[in-house]
Amino acid sequence: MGIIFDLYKLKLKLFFGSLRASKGSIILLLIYTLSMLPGTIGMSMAIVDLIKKGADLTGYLDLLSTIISGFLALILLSTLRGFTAFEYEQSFIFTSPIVPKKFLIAGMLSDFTAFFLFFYPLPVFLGIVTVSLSLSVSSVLLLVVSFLLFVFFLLFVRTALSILEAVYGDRGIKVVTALMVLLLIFPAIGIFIHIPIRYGDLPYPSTFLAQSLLGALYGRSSPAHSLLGLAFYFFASLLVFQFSSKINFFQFTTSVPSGSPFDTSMRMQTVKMGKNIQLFSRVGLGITLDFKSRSLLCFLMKKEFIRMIRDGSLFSVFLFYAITSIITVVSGTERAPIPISTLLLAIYSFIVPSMLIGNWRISEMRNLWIPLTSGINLKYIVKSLLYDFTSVASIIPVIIIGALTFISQLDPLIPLVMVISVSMVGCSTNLYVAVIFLNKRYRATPSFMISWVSILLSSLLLTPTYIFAASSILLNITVELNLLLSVPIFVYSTLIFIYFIKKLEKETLSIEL
Amino acid sequence: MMKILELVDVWKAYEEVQALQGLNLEVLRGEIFGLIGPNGAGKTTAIKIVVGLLSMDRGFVSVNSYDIQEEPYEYKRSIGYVPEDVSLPDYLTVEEFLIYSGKIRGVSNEQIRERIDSYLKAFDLEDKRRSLILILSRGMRQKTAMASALIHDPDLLILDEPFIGIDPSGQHKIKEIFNERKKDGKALFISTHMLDTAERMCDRVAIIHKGRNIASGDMESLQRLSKTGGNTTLEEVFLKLTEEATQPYSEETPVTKKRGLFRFRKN
Repeated sequence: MGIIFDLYKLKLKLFFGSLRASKGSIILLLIYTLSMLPGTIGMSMAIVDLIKKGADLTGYLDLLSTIISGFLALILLSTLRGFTAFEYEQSFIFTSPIVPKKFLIAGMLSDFTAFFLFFYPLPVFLGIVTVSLSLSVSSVLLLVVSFLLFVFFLLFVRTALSILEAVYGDRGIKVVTALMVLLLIFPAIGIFIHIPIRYGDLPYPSTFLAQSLLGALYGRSSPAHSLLGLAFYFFASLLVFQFSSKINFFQFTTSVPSGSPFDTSMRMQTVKMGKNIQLFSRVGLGITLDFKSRSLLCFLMKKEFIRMIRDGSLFSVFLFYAITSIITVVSGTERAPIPISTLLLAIYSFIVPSMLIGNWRISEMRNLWIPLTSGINLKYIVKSLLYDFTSVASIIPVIIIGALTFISQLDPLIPLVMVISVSMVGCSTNLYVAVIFLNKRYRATPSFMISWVSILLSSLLLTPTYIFAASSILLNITVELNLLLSVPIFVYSTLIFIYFIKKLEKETLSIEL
Repeated sequence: MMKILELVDVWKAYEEVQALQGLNLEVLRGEIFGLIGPNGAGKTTAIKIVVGLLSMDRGFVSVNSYDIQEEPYEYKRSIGYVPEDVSLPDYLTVEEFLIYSGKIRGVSNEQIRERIDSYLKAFDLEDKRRSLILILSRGMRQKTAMASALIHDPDLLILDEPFIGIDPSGQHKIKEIFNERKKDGKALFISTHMLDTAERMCDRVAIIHKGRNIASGDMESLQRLSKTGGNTTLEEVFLKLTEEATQPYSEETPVTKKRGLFRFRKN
């Protein structure tokens, strides 16, 4: 037991350890904690209110079962990549005399702890519901026991299947897992079209959990069969776990780099970016960096463009705007007070510069020594970056706006002015903030904090643009007047753009690595 | 021989650490100069100041007669640099990266093509020409970085631990390239912990400790200075001198110049 407890403590320390490395991670955790609380309380109160008004929540059995089944299906799918272990586990634990079973038990206990720390709103939700509905002790017990049985069932199944997949990773196990996933999610079709199979009629673990939860909320002693059903799945999964834990799977594990969601370090982000490059370079190798560019600036722009293709940045921008197009075409609500396409364009054109420059920072921060020691005048680097980011951030939405003008009769003027202005101001401010945070003193700041500062500064500087767009739409300003008003917006955006180019040229001179 | 690199009384402090305390160094054309010292002695800080990745608090550095503070871009055309922890753009292929390195240093397309062919052959990287850097091993990355540092045929090659992660045949080829460059009158400034390599390869060596140059010169003069005898190795000389230097110095200890060597007077 001693070894298990030591391993459990070690795993928890590594899970939360990166919190100690940066104040930003602690702020992230606090923000996560605080941001979940109002939503949880609000949702709990709404459900309590519905039950008090007499709404028949049991009618939601299928919906709740579908959600739980979907979650279970995702867990099952994750086992297809075999048993994953962190680098430190492979190096230090798998080479020690610790037996697999003890390692697995410690791992499951730490997963269980982390699960509850992450899903801390759940006990809050249960607490509010219990007190507000004055649930009986037996109902509360039913809720808790059902939930625990299901969580351990999940952990046992996930662990056992991952080991079996890793050790006997043949097609048979994959087919069985895929079949289980299909069986789990098949009744969900019933939500969209009428089929004779419903979750409520099936002996699925998700159905049993949904029945237990809904039964407890109504203060009824739930049908005993749902609890028995969950107990059956729990013991069955325990048996499979017992069998798989006797297998020496240490040599079959797949390495993963980090074990903590709080790890916002540059190393971790670089690893994630490496995976993107592996994926997107299959397409991205079609365009190559060669001698054909007319000038050094064009060459540098092409290099950055290639990076954006190969690290998936360009794909993300396309995806953002593809969603806008699809929603606009499907919804067909262009005559609403604020057209949905304009709203989406306003949101995405604001996010895209931050995303583009965030990706640049992850990809290029460690490589900055190359231009900095080369003797190239850094104004070329600054200009190439800004021209590239602004082009990508504006040309793609401009094409989308053009297409939507024909397909959905979108009035193109306001969206065009908005996306071009937002791209110019957003890209220049985001890049400026990113370069400021390259300073040694601020370099450990997590990316999301840098994004927040950029977003704050961009928002302030984009106030005139948004005032122009909002007033044009809400006050039904004529096309002629809109055209006239858009001129100062363009001039203003250009001035901001030029100002930040000059500032960046100065700032890059003082970058220290 | 003419000086290609000169550091005079260079000081650099990080928040609470005084990394360099009046460092003096000279590297001459046509020589391989080794910079050795214990961990935290200030080797990487000194190199980063020379290549322009760090600013100094005080002092003077010239490269190829350029004052690096007065002319921060121009002097860099004369240097090639490979850091200890090599990070390269993973999203480029080896060839693309070398083209990029050449272009940003103002090398003509023709010369870039020629040198890419030549260095890929020299470093056994021909079959990796169109491979993404992402998939290269550490040694291959190191060789790619070395090729990029040579793409503009610099007068001074500055290398921080150049042999780490490179296989013996790769190391042998790199040493051959170094010797050829030396014959051509180019200089190499190498920081290393591999004292046997430094002893065989370098014409002169500087031993730095706590940000100061405690001794520099050729092997013979270092042996003389350390009083360890004529048959001692650089490792023995290094251990003796660094051990002596662990005695505390006063902040403004004057430097005595003795037979072309720098040595700090102990209190």
